[in-house]
Amino acid sequence: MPNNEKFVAGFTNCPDKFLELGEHARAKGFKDIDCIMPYPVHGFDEAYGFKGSWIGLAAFAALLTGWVAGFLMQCWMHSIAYPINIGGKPHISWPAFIPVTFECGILLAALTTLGSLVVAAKLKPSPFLKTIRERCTDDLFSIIIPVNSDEDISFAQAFLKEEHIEETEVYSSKILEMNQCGLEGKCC
Amino acid sequence: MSSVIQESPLSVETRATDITTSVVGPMTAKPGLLWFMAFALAVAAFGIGAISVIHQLIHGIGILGINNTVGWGVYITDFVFWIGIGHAGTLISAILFLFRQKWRTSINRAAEAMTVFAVMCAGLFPLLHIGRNWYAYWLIPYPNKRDLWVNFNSPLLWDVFAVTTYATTSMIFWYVGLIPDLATARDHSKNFFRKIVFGVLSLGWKGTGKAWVHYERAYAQFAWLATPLVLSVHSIVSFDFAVSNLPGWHTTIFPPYFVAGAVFSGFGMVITLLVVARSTMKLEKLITMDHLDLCNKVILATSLIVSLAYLTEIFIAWYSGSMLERYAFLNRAIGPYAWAYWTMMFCNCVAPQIFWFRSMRRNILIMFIVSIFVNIGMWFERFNIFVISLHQDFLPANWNYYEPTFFDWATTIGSFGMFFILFLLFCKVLPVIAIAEIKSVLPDPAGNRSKKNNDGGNH
Repeated sequence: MPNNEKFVAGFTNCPDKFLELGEHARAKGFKDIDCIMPYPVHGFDEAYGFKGSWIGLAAFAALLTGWVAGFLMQCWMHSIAYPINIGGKPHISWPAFIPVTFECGILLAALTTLGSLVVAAKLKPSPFLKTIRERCTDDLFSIIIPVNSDEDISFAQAFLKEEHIEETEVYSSKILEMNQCGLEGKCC
Repeated sequence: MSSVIQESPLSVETRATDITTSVVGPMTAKPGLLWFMAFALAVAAFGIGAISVIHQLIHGIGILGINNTVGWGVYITDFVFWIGIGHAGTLISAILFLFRQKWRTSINRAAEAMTVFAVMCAGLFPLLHIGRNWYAYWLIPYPNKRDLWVNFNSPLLWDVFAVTTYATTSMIFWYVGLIPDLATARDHSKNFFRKIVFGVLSLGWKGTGKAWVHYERAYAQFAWLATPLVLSVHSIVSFDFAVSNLPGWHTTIFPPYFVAGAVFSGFGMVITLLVVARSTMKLEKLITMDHLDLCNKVILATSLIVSLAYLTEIFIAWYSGSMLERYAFLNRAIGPYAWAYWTMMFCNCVAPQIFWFRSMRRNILIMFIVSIFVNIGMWFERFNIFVISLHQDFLPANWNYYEPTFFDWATTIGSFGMFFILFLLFCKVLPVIAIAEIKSVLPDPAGNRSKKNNDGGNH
C-alpha cells in the first residue's frame, strides 16, 4: 500500500478503456497506481505495471519439499523407526513409496498456495466491509491514483477528464486498507 | 476439433451486469416448489441411509451381503463410483482451464461443487466398510505407543493419501474460485444477515489490481496441481485392484481405463445435474445448448475409450493364453452375473452412440435419459470388476454368489440423498455460475455493441 492519505478514483465500465487508462496514466508519470476490477481483464497487469506474483515460486518450493519430506518419512518409518519384513521386500522398497510421495508434494503445494494467497492478497474475514461503489464487484472498473496534496488531486482529475472519464471521486486511503470497514465513507 | 476450441458460446447481448443479476438473483429469491420437492426427496433418501448406517454401527458389517469369498461388494463399488463422479469436475475446472477452453466458465462452478460433494460421499464408504469405524484414524501414520506405522507398500494406504489429498485440494480450489463471486454476492444482497455471512466468506475481497495478480497466479497454480492429481487419484484407486494378482484385476490397462471411465461417468452426472439446475434455476442463457452439446461430445468420446478398453481386456485375456484369465472374462459374459455385465455393456457402449447425431446431443430429454444410463452403466462397471472377479476364486470349494442386502442398497440410496442435499443447498445459497470468470469471456461485457466484436481475442 502506498503511504499516501488520499486517492482519486476514475470509473468506467469498458474493459478496453480501463486498460488504456492504466497505460496512459503510467505514461503521464503517475506512480504506484492501482485499480479495482470486478473481473480480471486480460493484460491488466502489464497495463498497470504490476509486478508478477511470487505464489508460483512458493508453491514450487512446497512441492519439492513435500516430495522430499514424504519420501524420507516413508523411508524412516519402514527402515529405522520400525523395520518390519513385509513379504520379503527390502525395507526401502522405493517404487512402492512413489504414489504417497507424489501426493505429499501436491498436498503441501496446495496448502502453501492457499496460505500464500491469503498473505499476498491480505485476505481476512471482514463482515462489515463495503466497497467504494457497489458496482465495483459487478461491472465497474476503476483506476486508483494515489495523491498527497490538493495539487495532485487537481492534476489527477484533469488527467481523468482528458481521458473522458465522467465519474471520478476522491477517497481516503484507509478505505482500501484491509479490515477497515470503510463505513467512514468518502472524504474530500 | 474446430467446434470444441470455439469462443465462448454466450450471446453478444449478455452484459456483465446481467450475469450478476441472473446469478445473484436466484440466490436471494425464495426457492420454487420443484426445489422443495427435490429437497424433500433427498432428505428422505438420506434418512434411509442414516438409519442403515446406525444399524450397521450397532450390529457390525455382518448385516451387509459380503461373505468370505466376496469381501468387496456394494460399498467399494459405491466408493469408486463416487470418486469417479468427482473427476469430471476437476477435468472441467483444471484441465480445460489449462487448455484455455472458454466454454468451461459456465459450468465449472457447478461441476466443482459436484466434485467436492462426490468425494465426501466416496470417503464415507471405506470408513463404513472397515467395520470397527471408530478405529478409522489407524489409517493415518501418527506416533503411537506401540511405535507401529502404517504399511506404505499397500495400495490401500496409497488410496488414503490420494483421496484425502484430492478432497483437500478440490475443496480449496473450489473455495478460492468462489472468493470474488462471494464478494459480488456480498455487495448485491440486501439482507443484513447475508451481507455479514458473505463478508466473512469472501475474506474481505475488494478486487484491487494487486490482489488480482496474486489471485490469478494462485488459481492457475491450483489448475497445475489438480491436473496431475486427478489423474493420479483414479490411477491409485485402480492400483487397489491392479496390484493384486487376481484374474480380472491384474491388468496394466487399469489406470488409464479407470481415469477415462471416471471422466465418462462424471460427465454423465454433470449432464444430469446441469439439466436439472438449468431449468429449476432459470439459467438457460448462461448454460446454453452449446455447453450441453460439448459435454455430450465428451461423453461420446470417453464412451468410445471405455468401450475400447473393454474390448482390449477381452482380447488380452484370450491372447495371454492363461486359462484363469480366459475364464474370468468368459465368466463375466456368460456366468451368473451376465445380467450385470450386459447391463454395463448396453449403458456404457451402446446408449451413448446416439450422440453421434447432433439433434440428439441437443435434445434435453434424450441427454437426460442417456446420462442416467451412463451413471447406471458405470456403477455396474465397478460392480462387475469387483464382484465377478471375486465370486469364483482359485478354489471351486470357495465359490459363492454375492447378493447385496437391504442395508447395502439403503446406504447407497443414502449417499445419493446426501449428495443431492448438498448440491441443492449449493444451488440455493452460493453462486452457481463462476461470475467473475464468465464475465471475462463475454464478447461484449460493457454493452457498447458499436465496437467490433471479437477483435482478435486476448493476445
